[in-house]
Amino acid sequence: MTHTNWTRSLRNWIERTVPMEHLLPDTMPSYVDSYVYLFGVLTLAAFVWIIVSGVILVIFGPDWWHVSAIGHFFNSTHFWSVQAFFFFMVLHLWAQFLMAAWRGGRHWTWIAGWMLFLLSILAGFTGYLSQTNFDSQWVGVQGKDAMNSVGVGGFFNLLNFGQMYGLHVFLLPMLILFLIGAHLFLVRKHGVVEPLPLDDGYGKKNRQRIAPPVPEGESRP
Amino acid sequence: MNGSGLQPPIIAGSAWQYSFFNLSVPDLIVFGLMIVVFVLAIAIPFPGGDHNDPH
Repeated sequence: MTHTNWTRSLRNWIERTVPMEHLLPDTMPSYVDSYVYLFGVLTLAAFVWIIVSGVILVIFGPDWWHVSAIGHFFNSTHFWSVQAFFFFMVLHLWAQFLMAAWRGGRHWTWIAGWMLFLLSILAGFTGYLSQTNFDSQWVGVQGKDAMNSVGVGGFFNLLNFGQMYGLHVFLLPMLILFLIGAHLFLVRKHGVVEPLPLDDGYGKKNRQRIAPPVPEGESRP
Repeated sequence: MNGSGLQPPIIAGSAWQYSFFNLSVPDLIVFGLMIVVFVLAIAIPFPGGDHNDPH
């Protein structure tokens, strides 16, 4: 009698779906040798700094980051990390869009990336509202009309600091962390997308994008 | 707080306007820098990479 066991079947599914050599590869395809492929990990590095500086800010609070020199420093670190985060995320988006990175069953990676982009905008917006300065008041007063016009003003009140701060420091970072995990998992599962086939000049796509290996003793023409 | 630019009258900085675009000078600097970085990332060969033309 065979026993079905959920831990065993889950383990088998994981081993079948994401073998460890995919999750933690020690080699990469030759086409990854380009600075264009660095934008994703630069976005991730900026996100790490956002979390580190954000955790420090949330421990000490607005009374600290507005009046203390060290508070100003971490407030600025948080702000500039966000600038780097969006800077590299948009470059990552351009690169992946131009190489049609959703090819080869990678559509969920692409969709997760888009969801991350939209959530990041929301996180950035609630962050501007959480600054507790003139800027945040200006953004809140201007933005509330936009929120009311699309019908979400009843439960998404830009002038409610507690709500915006709670969304910014807990709910949105958790969602973004989860989606980054899913995004990276999918990248590892499906591998990095190969470059688009080159046009050979005769109106046909050259599918042999990567030249075949040169046999031993011969040189590449 | 005087001299911080936050006392009335508050005057907005210059911006490039076209259709629904309203991009400030910092916006334009950042956007220009993004294009420069993107082009350089494509153009500069990656160290240690295989630069042989496959064709």
